Amino acid sequence: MSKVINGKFVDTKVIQKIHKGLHKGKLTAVHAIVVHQTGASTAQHTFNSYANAGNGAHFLIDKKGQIYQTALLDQVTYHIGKIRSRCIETKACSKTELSVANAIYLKKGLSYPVIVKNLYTHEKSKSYPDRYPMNTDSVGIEIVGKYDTAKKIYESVTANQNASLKWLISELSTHLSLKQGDIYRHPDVSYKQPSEAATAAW
Amino acid sequence: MFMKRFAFLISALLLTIAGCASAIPEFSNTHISAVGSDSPNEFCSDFSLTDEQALEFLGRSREVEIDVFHNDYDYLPCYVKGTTTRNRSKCGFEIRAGGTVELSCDNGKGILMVCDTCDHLLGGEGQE
Repeated sequence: MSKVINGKFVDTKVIQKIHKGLHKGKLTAVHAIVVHQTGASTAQHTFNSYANAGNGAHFLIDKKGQIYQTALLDQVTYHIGKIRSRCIETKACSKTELSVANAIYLKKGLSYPVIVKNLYTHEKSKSYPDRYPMNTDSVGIEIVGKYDTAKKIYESVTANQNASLKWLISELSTHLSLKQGDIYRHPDVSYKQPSEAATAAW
Repeated sequence: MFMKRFAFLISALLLTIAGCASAIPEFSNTHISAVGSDSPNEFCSDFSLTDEQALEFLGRSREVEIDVFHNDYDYLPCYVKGTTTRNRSKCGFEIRAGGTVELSCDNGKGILMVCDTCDHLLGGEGQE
């Protein structure tokens, strides 16, 4: 059984490769896990980008299924972006909430990027699970996988990657008291290409 | 003296050639073939572009890597698809309402682009 000590996920299956540049403040509560794909074909490409940029997740699973911890579990990382409206997407808005959300979502005269930003601002005021998870209350797992710009699709997650993902999610769910319904694919939560992590299984 | 005049003539010639090259637009022959949404709903009902607007969008866009395309821009369900010519290559394009473009050119290469100055073409009022 793995352990979590001061934000570090301790297990022989996990290699520590913490990038402090990914840390964006204290993560006080974790309500969900969000599964991503990197878009690049190698883990090294992502490590290089982590060294230079501010976006990234807590874990990375390479093509062979090796798991790396890239950020501490008690730190916020930027891995989600602007979330969708959960009640609109699941058609579960109350009458009042639908009226408020639609006034933002279907507003005329604003550009689509501005509408999405305004809706995100509105969603942020809600509590989980009334909204989708955000950077401030979730853990991110990246799976190495190239985005084919000609075919417009992410490559399939390998069997080794899925086996590692399944184990990692199981362990994290125990440590963080999460249920199966608290695990999401990135495009379910925010506006991303639908094929990202579509073949991930846990 | 001869060498100075010769150098001047060569410089002038090179400047003229460079001027002609920059006058050739990157995109041309741009035509919309489809307007739609991945998940048809009212959200995308106002999104469409004319051929001229699509050409302007492409002209204002810049090429980016997948990291920037994925992390910094929203991939919205509303799109217009069409064809264009980019630097003499024929390409299919897919412009999305979040300010993204995916080009598939006849050399088999896919190109990702984004536009930061296209709000007026994405439903916003007024010109840039």
